[in-house]
Amino acid sequence: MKDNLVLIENNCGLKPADQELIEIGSDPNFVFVNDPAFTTLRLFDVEGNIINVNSWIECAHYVNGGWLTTYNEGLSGNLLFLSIVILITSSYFVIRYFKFNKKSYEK
Amino acid sequence: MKNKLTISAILILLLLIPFTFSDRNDSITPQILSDSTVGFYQTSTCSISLIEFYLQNQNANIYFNSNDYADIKCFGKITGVDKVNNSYMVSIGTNTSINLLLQSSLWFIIFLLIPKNKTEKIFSIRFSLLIPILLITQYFGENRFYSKTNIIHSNDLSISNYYLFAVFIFYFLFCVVFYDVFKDRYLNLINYLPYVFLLVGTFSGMNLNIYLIIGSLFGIQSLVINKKFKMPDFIYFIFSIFWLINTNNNEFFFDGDKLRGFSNSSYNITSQIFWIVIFYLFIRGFLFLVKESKAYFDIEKFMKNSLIVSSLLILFGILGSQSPIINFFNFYIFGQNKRGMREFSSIAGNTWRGFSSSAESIGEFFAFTLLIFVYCLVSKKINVLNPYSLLLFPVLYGLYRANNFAAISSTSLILLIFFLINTNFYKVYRFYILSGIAAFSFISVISYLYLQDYEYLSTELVYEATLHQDFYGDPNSYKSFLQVEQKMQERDLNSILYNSENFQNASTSYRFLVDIFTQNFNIPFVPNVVAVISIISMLINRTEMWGIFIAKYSPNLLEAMFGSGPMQLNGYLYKHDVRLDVPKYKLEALFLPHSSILDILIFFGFFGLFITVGSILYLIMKNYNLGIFKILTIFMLVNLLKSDSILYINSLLFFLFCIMGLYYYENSDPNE
Repeated sequence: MKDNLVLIENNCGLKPADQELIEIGSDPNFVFVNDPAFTTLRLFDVEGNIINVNSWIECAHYVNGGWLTTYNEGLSGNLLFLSIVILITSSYFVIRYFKFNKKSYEK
Repeated sequence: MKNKLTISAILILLLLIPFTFSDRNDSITPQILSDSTVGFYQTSTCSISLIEFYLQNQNANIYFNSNDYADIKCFGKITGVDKVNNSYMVSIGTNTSINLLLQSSLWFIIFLLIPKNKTEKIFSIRFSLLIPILLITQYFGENRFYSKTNIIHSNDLSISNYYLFAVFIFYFLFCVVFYDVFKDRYLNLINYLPYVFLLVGTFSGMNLNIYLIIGSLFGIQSLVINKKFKMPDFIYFIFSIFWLINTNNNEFFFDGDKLRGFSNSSYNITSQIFWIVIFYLFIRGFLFLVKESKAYFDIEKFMKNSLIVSSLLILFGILGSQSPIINFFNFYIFGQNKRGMREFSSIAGNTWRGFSSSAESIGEFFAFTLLIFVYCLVSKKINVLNPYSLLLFPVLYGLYRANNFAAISSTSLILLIFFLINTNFYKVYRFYILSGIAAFSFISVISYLYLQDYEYLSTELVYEATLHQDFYGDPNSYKSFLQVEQKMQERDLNSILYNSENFQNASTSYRFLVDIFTQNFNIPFVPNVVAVISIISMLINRTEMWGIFIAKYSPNLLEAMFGSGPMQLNGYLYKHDVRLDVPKYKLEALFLPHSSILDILIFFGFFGLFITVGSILYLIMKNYNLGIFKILTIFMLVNLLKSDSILYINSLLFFLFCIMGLYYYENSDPNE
């Protein structure tokens, strides 16, 4: 964890003076205690999964494991949204065109 | 009928399908939620759909939370589970961008249920395309809001910003769909206005409401058709200049809270321009709609729709309080600002929360429905045994549970007067009855002032405001409190402000009121204006809220004269530091002024307030006949004095409808 301190502090904020850098590893019985003074942060893994952390040490633990406060998914998320919008828009105009033609024909 | 069934089927499919998508090929299957499987759901996020999860967990104590910041791929899926006290908080991915697409589609399909007009009027689409440009400016002006609620939000002006490009295309489509749906329906819309209380229309994760967009599109139509700028337009333009001049760099940010969708979240030039233009178009559009619909307005249809909406509010409110999944879908389908009540206890159930952010606003709606029903019963001679009369029970129940004493008492009084003036007894003894009422009111006021101690009543508001100012600053807050308390016991306001630090810490409105209150000259038998306001505040139980308002409201000269702009509360909320004398748990609460008069003062200043109130009073005085719109306008005015209802888009629409109904439908001189 010490090796990643710069990365951890970039994501979780400065290490509190009284905070020890404890190695939690994969201990399933470890319980993180919520720190009311710590503003809840949202971390993302490489697949875009989300977790909320409620203390600096919890945040440090996850960042050390590869989670980050930013999810660099931008382009694909944007593109996906654009694709959906283009699909909906073009479908609507196609239906509208045929409906309009049908009405004109009936008149 | 067949058409309505098809629309309903499409609606249900459109709503449910996005919440059923999940990868069937992965090995992840939903498990029964318990303490031991919370970890499973925390690690397998974005893999299990809401419907899959719900089918497996119908009986668990669950609260479904919407997670607007989730990625598009996580839409409709479980994005996290936490145990809070004895219940499980299950987060459902509801990406903000997809919400815009899905909720717009749902709501436009619902609008298709409105019957078409018999005739088509000229309706232009060309200029409507300016609206996407306007709506995009909000993404720049309120960047901070959207950065917090949308994972793919970016306001970079670059070719690679597909997000903004997509939003622009969608708004373009929105305008075309608006044209297709409303071009032969819009004259009927006014009869369906009560539905704005059921379909609230706020996009999840956005600071935008569908009625704001639709209203502004009608505003564009109004400009195209009428092609004239009148005096109110010029006055608004002049006000706009002052609002923009007065906008300085600041870091204020209001997340909208219960006003989301109809409140400016930032205080910068771009956000100001957006709200100034859209508010103008929205108001203009609605006035255009009311004016054009004159021949189509049917009071009985309006009454029936009000009764149906009131009953549906009660039905969905109760269902949502009993079932977490219905509670979630209520929020999503109806575009609520806040989640509905989770339990049916007396406090949680008071406000029909969710469907209305405010107990006052929903209470006014139920009372409004009751008034229209009674009016139709008496004036239109509708049969009291018609099936719609049964829907009066939910209205009365809703009014009772809204716990809005002002709405109940003002409705009772108005109904009493209405019944009285329709009797022969009144027609014969009119002079004696009016004289009797005037004498009784005068004696009541004098007795109240005498019994309650005039000095106490007339000073309480200013002293309440004093309590919330940051006077005699000291690290020991109790010491400060004692100093203020001593001055209050001595009823000594001036010497508090002699202290230069106190003077600096006092809001400008506080200084102004103290100055008026402590002036040296005294006109016999004419009470001081501050004393009058103080007495009114005591009478309607608003002393604390108005005291807080005086402590917080610290405008400069321009703001005091012209306000800070439409739906702009940032200056009021954050500009002036106060030390609120309220319990600790309330310190972070949203303190709104609790009077629509004060809201108008914040937005449009003294000039705006004078013009607005003056015009409404002039309109009321000018119409001699006691028609339904006059009754409703008086009712709304009385209630707006002590409620913030104009901050909610549905209540504002109703208020405007009453005034415009009075102007266009009941005006003795419609050519004015």
